[in-house]
Amino acid sequence: MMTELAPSSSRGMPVIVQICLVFVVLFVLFALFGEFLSGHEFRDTSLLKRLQPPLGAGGEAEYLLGTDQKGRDLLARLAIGARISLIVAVIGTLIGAVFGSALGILAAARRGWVETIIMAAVDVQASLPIIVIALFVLAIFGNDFLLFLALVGLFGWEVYARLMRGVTLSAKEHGYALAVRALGASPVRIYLRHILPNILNVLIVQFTINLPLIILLETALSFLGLGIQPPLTSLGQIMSEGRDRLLSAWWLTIFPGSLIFLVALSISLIGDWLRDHLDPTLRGVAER
Amino acid sequence: MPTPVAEVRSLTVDLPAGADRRHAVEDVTLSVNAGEVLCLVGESGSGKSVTAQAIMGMLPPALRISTGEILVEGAPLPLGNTAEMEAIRGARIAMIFQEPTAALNPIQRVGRQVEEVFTVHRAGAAAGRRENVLSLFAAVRLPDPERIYRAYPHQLSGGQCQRVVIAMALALQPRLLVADEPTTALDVTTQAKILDLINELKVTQDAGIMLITHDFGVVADVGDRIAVMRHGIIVEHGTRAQIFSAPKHEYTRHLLAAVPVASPREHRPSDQLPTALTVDHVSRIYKQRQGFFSHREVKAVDDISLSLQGGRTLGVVGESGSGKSTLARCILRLEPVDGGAIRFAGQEIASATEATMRPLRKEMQVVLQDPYQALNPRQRVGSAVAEGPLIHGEGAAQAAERARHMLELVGLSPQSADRYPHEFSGGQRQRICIARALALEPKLLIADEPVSSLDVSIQAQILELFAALQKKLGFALLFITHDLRVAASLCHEILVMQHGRVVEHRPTGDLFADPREAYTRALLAAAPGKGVDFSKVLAAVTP
Amino acid sequence: MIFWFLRKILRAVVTLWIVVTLTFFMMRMAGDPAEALVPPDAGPEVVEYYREKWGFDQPLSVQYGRYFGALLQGEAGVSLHTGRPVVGIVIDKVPNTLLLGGTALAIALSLGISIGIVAALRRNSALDRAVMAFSVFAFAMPNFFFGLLLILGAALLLKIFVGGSNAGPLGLLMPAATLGLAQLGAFARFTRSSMLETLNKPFMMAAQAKGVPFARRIFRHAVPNAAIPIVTLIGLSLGGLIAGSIVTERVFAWPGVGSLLIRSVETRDLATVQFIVLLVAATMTVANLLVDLLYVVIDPRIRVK
Repeated sequence: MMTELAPSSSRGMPVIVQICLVFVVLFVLFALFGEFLSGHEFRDTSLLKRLQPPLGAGGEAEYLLGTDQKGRDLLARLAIGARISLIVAVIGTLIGAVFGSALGILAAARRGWVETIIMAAVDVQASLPIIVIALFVLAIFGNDFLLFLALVGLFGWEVYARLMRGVTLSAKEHGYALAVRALGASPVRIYLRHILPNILNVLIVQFTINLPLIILLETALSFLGLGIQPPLTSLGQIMSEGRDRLLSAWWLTIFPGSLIFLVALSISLIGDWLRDHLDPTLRGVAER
Repeated sequence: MPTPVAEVRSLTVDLPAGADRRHAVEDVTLSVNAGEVLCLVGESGSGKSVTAQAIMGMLPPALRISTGEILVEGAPLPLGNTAEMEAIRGARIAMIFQEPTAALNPIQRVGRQVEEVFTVHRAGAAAGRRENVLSLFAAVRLPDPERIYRAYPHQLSGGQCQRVVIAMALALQPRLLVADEPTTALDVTTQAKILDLINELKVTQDAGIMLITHDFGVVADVGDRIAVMRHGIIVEHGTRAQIFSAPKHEYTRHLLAAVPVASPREHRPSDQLPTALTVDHVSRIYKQRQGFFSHREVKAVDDISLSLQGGRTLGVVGESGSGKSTLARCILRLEPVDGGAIRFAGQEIASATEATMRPLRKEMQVVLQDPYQALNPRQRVGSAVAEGPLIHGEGAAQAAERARHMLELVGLSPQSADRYPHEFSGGQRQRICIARALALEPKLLIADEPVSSLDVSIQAQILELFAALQKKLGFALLFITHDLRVAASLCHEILVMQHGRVVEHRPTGDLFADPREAYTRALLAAAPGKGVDFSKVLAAVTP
Repeated sequence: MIFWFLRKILRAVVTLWIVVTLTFFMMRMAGDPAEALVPPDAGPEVVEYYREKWGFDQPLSVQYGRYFGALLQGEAGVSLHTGRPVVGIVIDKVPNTLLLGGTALAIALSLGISIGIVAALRRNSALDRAVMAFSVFAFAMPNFFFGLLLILGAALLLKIFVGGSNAGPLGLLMPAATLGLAQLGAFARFTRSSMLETLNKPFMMAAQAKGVPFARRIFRHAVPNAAIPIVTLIGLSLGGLIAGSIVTERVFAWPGVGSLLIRSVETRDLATVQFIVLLVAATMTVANLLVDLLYVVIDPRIRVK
């Protein structure tokens, strides 16, 4: 009854979310075109210009953000690193989302032994942190960009599978999906026209939760030296190389680290806002 | 003139800015005497629950009392003083709730929860509290108080939980008992027993009871004085005799006229249309896992047979868990059937596959209970109504035209087709659902509790709509409800179900005049409002 | 109830069996295990010697059976570098990892739950917003970056270099804070939403209606009910802790299982990696069983089922 009396509020986008959106757009632009800001190629070494500090901390304008231990321009490396991190994160999230959602919906649609097998796979996945699986596979098969991408893509599939199974089951068992089924609609029509559009919100929100987590996973693996390998670079790898010079060349840690933190922060703040904004009744459908 | 135990004097509660009206309740004045039940009657949004919350000093933070005062035994409630209110709540004023199971802490034994009243009010010696609780349980007629004391809420039935909540409220013999829809969530036989208990407490407890309800049947059973609320205002206030024999306000008359009357629909042996549906010894068995390998079988539907002719209405009546909804889903084949045969449109469908069912669904349609969930929120109303014809091969333009026509037929404007479901009220949404079902011109319509989530006055309109459309279109109607009164007003025959089985299946008039089975008699006796002859009231209020 | 728990145990056993089987066959997919397990510069006769010694010349099914049998007896092969049994090498490092993980979990649990409760009770206050902001910060902060920042901060402000053998309270506290940060944020946020949900339940209103004072309502009624979903989160957070400890141990050169795992991956010491994977799976599965048991203790609704 109170809901009927309560004022209908239509809130706009808060300033903080707008800032986050702008930052994410800038980050993407930087990842795509950032290397042109710097006059250097990200792999060019210059032994005479090793470990130059950034401008304003004793450095020169030619190397705005300084150079690393091989005299490579940090700005150019950050741009390329951001690009690789972004590509890996987006593709990885997409793989996990598509693969996991498809399995979750399949489990809910078919029930029976299909569901049993899928949920057993979810159990197995849930019993091992993805980073442990990734380390095991990388140890056996050695490092390879595509393998690495596939491993990162594996991240979170079980969350999507559980989530989609739960949502689909509840959508299937009651409400309008049932009514439409009673009209004589085919399963394809029910899923495509009635169930999917209504669970899209749930998917989008989960996507914004997973994206920063995948960025953190990729950068962590690269930081450990087990992710992106030279000659490619990623934000985590730059930090990994700068780690031994933490005190003498702080910029090699601080700049890439801040970039990772800020982009993860922005995406999750946008995700939070989306969750509140898109569907306040969303909480609680995922579990069990 | 008895002295009132509680008084509400010109109470006004403001709504937050931006609401659809300024006050949740406006200038409400009420009084409750010891030993009487004051019924506060209204539909959803009338402000009756806000009034109760204000009396308890438990208004949600967004609501604020702007004027008025509340007196208990002549003394104003110290609404601003938290500590003093805590001492009064549970001791001098107490409350019981709509959802008894939810009103109890799920992870604490119910005995401890009742005992807590004594503990927080430091009443009596700690040693005697357990005994007090046990005798309270006996007083509210709970069987085996020792067992109940140790039980958790989920181990008790809804009726037992409500008795526990009542025991909790009575623990310190309050002067005022506020009961907010205390029987709405309960089955009809349980409701009757709880209402009996309330009538008994009225005499034994020497407390005033303020009972909030939307159901004039309940009012007829327990009310001594009655206040009718609408849009936050008390429109009429009087004794039981005044309200039932000479209601003054138009809205009171409207509400009274909307009460479903348990008088059977006239039995007209009209033109015999062909049989639309035959259900023959149908069963549906649920397997509950019990151990590693063993299952326990629950017969949700147990050997049910029935047949239904075109143009006729069969009411399936039962309490929650009786299997009536499962039966509906079996006939619709939205659920597998475990035994028996169903003949529909010349075909045996009990074992039909989903694919063979699909073309048949044109002939059999359903209206579900909750109109808020039955429509896809992202689909325009016109498109929802047109979807059935489209699926079954009608052209887009023709289907859209048909949708507009159907919307008109159920009493909505054709322009509604371009709007989204959230723009409609519950009753309007149910009309849309009916339009969607009938757009296919089915031979059989199954309605599963289609009015139980609607306000009383809306309920009456929807029931009339069903009857009128059936007369016009000639479909057979299988009407599922928990409410015998509703079934009586609409159905030619009634089938009473309990534990998945048929108890009694007879023409409505015969069933009411001469119920053969004990369970049917119990259901009839439990229907609220038996003390008042609503058909006479109806005659009095309809000019 | 007993069957319910037995079924849970059965599921856990099946899960572990799948993990063991998958790791075994993936190891074999990598190519000749004898070559993989022997230093690359070893001659063919050495490879052949080990192939026979470790039974890699036998059919796969026999190897699988033997491997399984050995595991059940607590053997998982030998490290290719030291020649010591893998089980011993790993177990030696477990106490260090437990110390780090335990401290981190203790910090995350105690602090996270208390600030979550306070935020829920002071909903929409500045404090609430600060807690929410902190939890987003903790979620988005990469732990290796946070660890490096702590090291940098300690070095600049306190002139201490923390890492590896450097003992003392900071030597434990800094890595524990690094490891616990993300979990702390998650606990705070989850506790807050669980509390808010519980506070809106009808039984909280009923408790108020019977005159129960505020503090008692919160601690006797709201907190125990809100704690039930939090128990699930404890089980889930274990995965995060284990993943985090790998990175954290690396950053602080903490001599635990995580550091061992990284070193073993770098040197392709496959037997060690494989055993650590199994240990992690076993730990998480057992922990989740314990969480289920804990559920039974605190939630009577499950007990009767």
